[in-house]
Amino acid sequence: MPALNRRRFLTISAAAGAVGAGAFAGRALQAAPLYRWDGVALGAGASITLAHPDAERIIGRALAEIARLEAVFSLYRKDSALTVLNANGSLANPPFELLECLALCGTIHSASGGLFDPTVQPLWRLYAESFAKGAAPLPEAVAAARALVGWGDVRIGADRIAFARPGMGLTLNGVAQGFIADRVAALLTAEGLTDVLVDTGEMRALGGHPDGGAWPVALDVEGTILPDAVSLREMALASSAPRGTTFDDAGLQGHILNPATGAPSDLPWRLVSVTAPSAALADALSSAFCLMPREAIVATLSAFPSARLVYLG
Amino acid sequence: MHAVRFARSFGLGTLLSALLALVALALPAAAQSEAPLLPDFIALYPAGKLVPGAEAYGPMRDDIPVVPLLKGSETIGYAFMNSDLVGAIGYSSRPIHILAAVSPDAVVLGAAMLQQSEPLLQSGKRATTVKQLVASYAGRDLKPEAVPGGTGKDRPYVSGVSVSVRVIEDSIIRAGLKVAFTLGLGGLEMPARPPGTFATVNPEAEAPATWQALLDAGLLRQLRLTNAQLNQDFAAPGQPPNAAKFPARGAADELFIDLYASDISVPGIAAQLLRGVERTDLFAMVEAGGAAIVVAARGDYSWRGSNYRYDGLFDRIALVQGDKTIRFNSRDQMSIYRLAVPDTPILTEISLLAIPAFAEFDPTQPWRLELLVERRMGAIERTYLTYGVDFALPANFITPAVMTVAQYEQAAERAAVVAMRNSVWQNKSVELAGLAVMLAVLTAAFFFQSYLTRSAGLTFWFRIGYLGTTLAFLGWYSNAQLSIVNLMALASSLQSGFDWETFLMDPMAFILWFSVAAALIFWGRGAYCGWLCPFGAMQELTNRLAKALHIPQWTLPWGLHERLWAVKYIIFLGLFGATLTSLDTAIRYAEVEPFRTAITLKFARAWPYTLYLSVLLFIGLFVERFFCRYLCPLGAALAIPARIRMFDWIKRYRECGSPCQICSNECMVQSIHPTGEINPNECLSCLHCQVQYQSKSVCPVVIKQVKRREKVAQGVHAVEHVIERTHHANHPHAVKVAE
Repeated sequence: MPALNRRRFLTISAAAGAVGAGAFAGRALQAAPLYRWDGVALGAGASITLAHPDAERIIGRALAEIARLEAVFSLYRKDSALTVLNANGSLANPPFELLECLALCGTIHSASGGLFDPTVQPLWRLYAESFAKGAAPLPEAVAAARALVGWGDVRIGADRIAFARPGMGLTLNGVAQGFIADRVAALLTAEGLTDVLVDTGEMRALGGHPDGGAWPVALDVEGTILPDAVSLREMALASSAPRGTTFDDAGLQGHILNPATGAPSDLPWRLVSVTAPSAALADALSSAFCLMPREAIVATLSAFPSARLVYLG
Repeated sequence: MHAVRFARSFGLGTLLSALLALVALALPAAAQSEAPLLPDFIALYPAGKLVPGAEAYGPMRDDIPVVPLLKGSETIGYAFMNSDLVGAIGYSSRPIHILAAVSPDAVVLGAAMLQQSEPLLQSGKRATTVKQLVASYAGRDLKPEAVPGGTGKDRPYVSGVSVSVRVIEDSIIRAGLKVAFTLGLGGLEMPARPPGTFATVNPEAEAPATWQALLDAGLLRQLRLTNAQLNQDFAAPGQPPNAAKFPARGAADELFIDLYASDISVPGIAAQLLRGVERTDLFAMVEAGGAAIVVAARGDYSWRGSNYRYDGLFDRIALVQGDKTIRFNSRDQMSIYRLAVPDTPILTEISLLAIPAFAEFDPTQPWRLELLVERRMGAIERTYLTYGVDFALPANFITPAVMTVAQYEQAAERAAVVAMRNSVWQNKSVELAGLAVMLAVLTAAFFFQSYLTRSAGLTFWFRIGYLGTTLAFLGWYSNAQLSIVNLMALASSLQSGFDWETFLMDPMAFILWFSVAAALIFWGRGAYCGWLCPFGAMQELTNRLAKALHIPQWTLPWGLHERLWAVKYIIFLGLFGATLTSLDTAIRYAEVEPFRTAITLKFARAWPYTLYLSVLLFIGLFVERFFCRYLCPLGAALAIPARIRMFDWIKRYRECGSPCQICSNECMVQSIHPTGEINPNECLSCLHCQVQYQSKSVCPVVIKQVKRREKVAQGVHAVEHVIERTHHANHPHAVKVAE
């Protein structure tokens, strides 16, 4: 994959890990110390914060789950289910997670009037490869790549996922991080945990902070940190910064592409943050909203009463 | 070949074959027959016919019935019978025997159906088609099959004989994989986990006998979904708005699915849920290192779905453990009509699903069975939800690991060392027996030395004989020459961690060193240096020869001799010091000992070494045991503790040394001081002075004693005579007589 100009790796930082020892009196009563794992998932910084006497074993299980899901969704792994699907144009007996994730994509695709479209992968690749060579793609090339975009041409079935046309491709980068956060949260719930913050690039809070209260989360708006901007309790938060990652060095060609125009978003949004019961939903919505004016966002949100726009600017 | 996709043809025939397929699933995976059939079949079928270019079959392996396929001396593949390795029971209830071969890269090289009893394949077009089908497996790569569930490749359809075709496919692939995994072909290999280093299922743990108790104990896990619950989940945010328009068919409170899962390969669980014969069938199906789960359900939704009838894969369930997703193929499935627990609810779909060993499923770790629920929204649109049922074996069903892998490896290493040591000792049994006899003889000679040394001749020839044996048997035959290097190694090992095993690896040296230690306590260094050292024996015997040839002997002046003694101690200390810095360097310097050249290598060495040895032996012709007395660092090392000996066996007279100097002059190593005392650091216990001690012809003391005795004897006689005379004289009658 071509190198991208990543101005900021993370758009959000959780204040959770920075909680001082004496900040919460309740901690003294609990046997298990607050445990925070920091690492990488799907190429982005990730962390899991929990309080449990057997934290290391539980984190180990969570990491195995992340590794398993990367083998489904990662575009950076040659053997992932998604890479195989893109390479072959079809995939027999797809993993359940892929089916479930694509079902959500379909829903958001309809709700966003087609602006959220995982089939922009050919366009995305064109931009990435062109800018890696130092130039914007030619209009003819953009038109050709745009012709390969079309959610309706993805045939989804439990026995097989297939593209109707050769050359098509899927990217789930606008939803997979959130999906993985949800799955890790589900695994930790099955382990009996109640107060956990999973951050795989998008955040999913189980319960609240072990010291009491909600998980305080800061937002990063192009380098300006807004501390404690969001309080998360039993809720997910996803943020998208259209120009957080750009194709060009000038930082103008944002990585979120409009399937209708074939160009990066021309809207002024620096950060779009959405909360929802599931991180996958919040992730997909925040990705879609990057391409929408405020009125359209508000209109779309009416179909998702449990989701809220917590930052737009 | 007329191959239509199974899925596309409908009708009675298909229905029938699907039913037959289910019958086949329910059949136990037939156990392998006792004697491999491979030798019989390859005798009938030339290698070149199976794989073009192959010339012969090699000998059958011991671990698995497989023969190498040879081209000249090169192994180009491995041949096997499907029926030897996996169940291959066809529709006829008799095996379909297929001879096949795989390449070192786990690609099928050739396959041939050699014997079958399938009713529809005895003649005709179908028989030809199936024969061709079997042959068409040549070129099939087995590596992609080595994932749980396999590739789910479409099976070619041959009308009417789908069971046979299924068995052919499954048995070739499974047998081929077994061969590939056992032989490590194409990079496929079993994870090697030594026993004891990982947690295992406790086979003794017993499960409760009722359905409810099994649920309560967590040995059976349940996923219960009503239609209402499902409809609610499909109406959750993120689901397509359409989904709510196609609700589940039944009433809201009816079961969509009530699914149960457990690890049925756990003996305690199988004992409750399965009947005897089912257990036997199950354990025949589960391979070593593999496992099996039971999935049982009732309700509206089928976990089996219908897709498996086309490609074998159950596409609605998957097992997730750690970073692995395991899917199931119908070829690894066994249907059960009813579970054995009395209060079991009536379940409609019960299957035992085998997990192959290469899936690396760990029964002691938690796992989750995922159920995919598909909701159709019209003709094309679908949406999906997954549900999971989490299973974790309770702690009392788990035997924890007893050691770490590192500990196991250490123990294995130790066992290998012990095994090697034992074999070394066994191989040396002749040498060891000889040494034992020699040590016994020497001990006896020392213990009864006063009897031995009564005869100068006997002592002399005993010694010549013993030294000859030492040189020839201990030295040249057994290479049992102790060396200062042994001591240097010991000193070094004391620094780095002493281990008996290192020293036990050389049994002769080990025994000799022990006898040296014992001898040091009783007799001093002489027992070894004087009797058991092969090079010492060589010097003494060559010197004896020189003496016999009247080569003049040079006795060093006492003053010089006494000062030269010190040299060997200096050499010893030098070597010891060198050991402290580097054992390797020290071992090089230890070549000051000519032992390797003379004994181990029997003079076959580079000229500087042989020259050095020759010079030493040459000097030894004139100065008896020159090397031992002045240079030998080992002798020095043994001399230092020589004074710890508890007994003085060497008998002396008060007159020894003053004035008598006979022994002192005759001592071969000049260990007797002019003042008479014997220096135990130098004495080689040759027993010569002990012969002298008793010699009536040499020892002045003995001679004097003998003379005195004689005189005394004479005196006694005279006295007796006088007494007698006196007696006679005193006799009252005597006077008379005298008078």
